[in-house]
Amino acid sequence: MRGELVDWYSCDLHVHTALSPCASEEMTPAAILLEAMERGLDVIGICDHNSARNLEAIVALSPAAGIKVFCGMEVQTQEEVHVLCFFHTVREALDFQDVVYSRLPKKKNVREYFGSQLVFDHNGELVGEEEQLLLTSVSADLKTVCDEVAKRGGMAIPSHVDRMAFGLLGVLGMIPDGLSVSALEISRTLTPEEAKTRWKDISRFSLITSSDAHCLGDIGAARVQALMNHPSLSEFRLALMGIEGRKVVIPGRGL
Amino acid sequence: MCPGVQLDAEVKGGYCSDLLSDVMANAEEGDVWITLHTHLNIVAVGMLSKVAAIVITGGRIPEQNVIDRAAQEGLPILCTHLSTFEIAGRLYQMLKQALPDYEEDVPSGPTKSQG
Repeated sequence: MRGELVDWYSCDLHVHTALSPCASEEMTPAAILLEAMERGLDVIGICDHNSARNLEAIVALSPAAGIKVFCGMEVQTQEEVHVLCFFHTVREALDFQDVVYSRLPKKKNVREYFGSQLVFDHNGELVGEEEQLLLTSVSADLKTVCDEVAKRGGMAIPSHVDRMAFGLLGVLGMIPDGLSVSALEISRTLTPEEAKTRWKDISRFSLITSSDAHCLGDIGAARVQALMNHPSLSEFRLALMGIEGRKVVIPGRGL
Repeated sequence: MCPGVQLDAEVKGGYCSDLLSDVMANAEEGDVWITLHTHLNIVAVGMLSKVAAIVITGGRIPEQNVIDRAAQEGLPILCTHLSTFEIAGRLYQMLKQALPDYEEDVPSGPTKSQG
């Protein structure tokens, strides 16, 4: 430990905003931050489907709430596997978004079928809607997406891997060799022990749980506790690897 | 399956896929979409891609809410006990006979899967 200041941080790394068509319109940047404060969270990860367009808004408002925001997006690969992709800054996430958008079919969202895709500015004001169809796959496979995130210094975590729809294990049945991921997210309905019993090969990965919140009431409903020096993406990655006393634990049910 | 829905839409081709995002990206307007899915989302995907009809294979029957939604949108859903392979083969033959200038949808060469 070398006498460093180390503290526990409560982290829910998978929260959607109203930009995700399937999320409730109440998921505005300000409302999410207020809810995260009330739930005692220190860190939230913002991961909208295939887009980073609300990151600037929520990161701008976050210091007032005392919440650290991890800049992410939930990319859907061509196998229909969902992957949380985190970057150190809004800029890096937006650069990655350019790649993602270039790989999405050139189709517009149809609000009546999929829901609205609300975009907010740095004051938290609603400024419009994302027109690009977000609720679909990019034309890049799982390995390509994870490699690209790693190449850019980001952190890839396949989401709800146990789910039959859009989960890595549900869709592909096993974890492919040589996948550059920092951890796996398991559904909040499953304990790590249950997950490891069902899928032996996930034991070699760090596991996290998060809420996958699509409405305010779900924020913080599942989380991890991270022991680290300060709440940053770099520290969180070290904690996932268990470097110098840092660690990430999934709290027991009822916490 | 859908009462009141006209079956007179012009069919220009067909597309077989059970990956909804693949249908969203690659099915073309006027295609008959052949799938084993019965979930409500097929109506949204079918409307987005402007398919002429959805054919559900293998004897699967969608729930009433799916049928109602499709009827509301005027999108025909047809069910068959045949497998996707069988029904696609038969529809392909019919289409080739009915449309003399039907263009075979054959890519020019092998492409890498990740594009």
